[in-house]
Amino acid sequence: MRANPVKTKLLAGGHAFGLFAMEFFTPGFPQIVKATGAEFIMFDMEHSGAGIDVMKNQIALCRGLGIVPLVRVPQAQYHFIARLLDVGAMGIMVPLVETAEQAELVVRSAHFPPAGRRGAAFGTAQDDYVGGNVPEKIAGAHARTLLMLQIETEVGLDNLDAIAAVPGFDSLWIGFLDLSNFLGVHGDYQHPEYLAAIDRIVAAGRQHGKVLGTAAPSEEFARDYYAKGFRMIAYGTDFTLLQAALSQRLQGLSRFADGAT
Amino acid sequence: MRDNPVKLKLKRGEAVFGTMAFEFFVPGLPQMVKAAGAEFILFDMEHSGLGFETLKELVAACRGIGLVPMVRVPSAQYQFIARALDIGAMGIMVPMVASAEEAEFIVSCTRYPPHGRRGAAFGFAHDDYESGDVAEKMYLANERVIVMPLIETKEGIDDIDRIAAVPGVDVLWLGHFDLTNFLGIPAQFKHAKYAKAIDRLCAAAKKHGKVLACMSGSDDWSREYWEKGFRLFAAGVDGHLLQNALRQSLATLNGLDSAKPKRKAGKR
Repeated sequence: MRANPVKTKLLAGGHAFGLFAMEFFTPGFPQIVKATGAEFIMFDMEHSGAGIDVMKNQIALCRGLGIVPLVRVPQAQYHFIARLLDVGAMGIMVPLVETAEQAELVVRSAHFPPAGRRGAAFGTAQDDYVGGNVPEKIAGAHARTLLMLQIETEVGLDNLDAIAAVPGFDSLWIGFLDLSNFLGVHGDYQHPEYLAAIDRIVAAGRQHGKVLGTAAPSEEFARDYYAKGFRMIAYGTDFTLLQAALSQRLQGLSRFADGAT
Repeated sequence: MRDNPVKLKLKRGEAVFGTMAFEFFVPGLPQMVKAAGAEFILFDMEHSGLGFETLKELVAACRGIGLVPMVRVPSAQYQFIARALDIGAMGIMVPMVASAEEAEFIVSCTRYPPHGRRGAAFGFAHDDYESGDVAEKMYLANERVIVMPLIETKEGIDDIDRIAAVPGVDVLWLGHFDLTNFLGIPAQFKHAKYAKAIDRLCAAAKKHGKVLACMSGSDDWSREYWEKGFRLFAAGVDGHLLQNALRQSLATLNGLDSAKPKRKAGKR
């Protein structure tokens, strides 16, 4: 069982930087991203329309590149979590976690007995189609699987301490847009209510030893949240990065074209 | 038959800016580059492994969003050019065009008789599955296509005045890297041989009223070629644009880390 260097770094107090992928599920994508120095790709299934076949393909392309494939599943359900791990995801993010029971379900779905209730198949995609000692594989899977729960609703906030106290998951992620939406301050990331919620999540992460994670839509945002203690950051989304670079280039062209004519 | 706003602008002498795609052949690509301000997207079949089935989906995704789909075919063959047009491409780029005869052949592949030798099928992808008067469709199809030979070999430069004179050739697209390669001066864009070739290209375009085009790898590059008279630019390539933005992002993040000097030096 290959190890997950991102989880190792994070649990040792280090940081890990990568990006979200919502669109570019193409043969070259993992290597294109790897060549820039990204450590992980968070493949999104919640909002992208991607299915498990496409995920399996992308995860296979990460094999051998040393880039860590993580998947955000659509919802806290066993079949999403266990199947995405079976095809080789090294970590699972679950959106809209609202209760300790949901957090427990995620942990149960991700881990083999006795730590959880995940059904087992080895010599498959997750362990690179090689045979080997089953207890070692189970221990390897347990060690490498990075579980990330998103706190992004007012209900999740109400139950934050109970959720954070659940053993067996690694990271609390914020969903900044949804959090603001569910708090009724839509997109206002300076609103006192939103900021108080972030402070609570940071405190819960510290208290229960959970890695703090977030997406970062801008440099300023990344700076702020790094300073708050967030150590796992997905900076940008595949297509928004492309759009930012393209519109910058096109604006450059238009500017001197305007000046020259 | 929809018209081709890029061709209309070029005919009026206006500049047109778009982008090129080698990798991210996904359903959302046309709309996301349109939203970023691109006027056309040039799909590469020469180096990307892109086939016609995927291309047809991408061209379909350009329909209705006002983004002009163009294609670089792998080589100057009828079957590539006519098929790309049949699935809705509005512009055809052909690599390594080396002679006026080759340029004439390319134009003939893009035109219905008597102006060329393109076989006809209507009520399909390229005319948006509409019925209508066939003669009118053929006229409009001949009018809307943009033909862009890539000038990127010594032979192409040697015959540039005759290539530029070919009726139906709209754009002379500079393949800057290959041109240096075929001149024996790889990537030496300041070399006198390269500069002389560019001068010949620009003079031929001016003389025959053809549009000059190239990739825009940077603002400095674009400015230089704008001043030479280039008016059609593809601003970057999908994968590289993403990498540029991501590298910049990661540099920022790693900067956050080094701002707090807590890493131990040496060892490992």
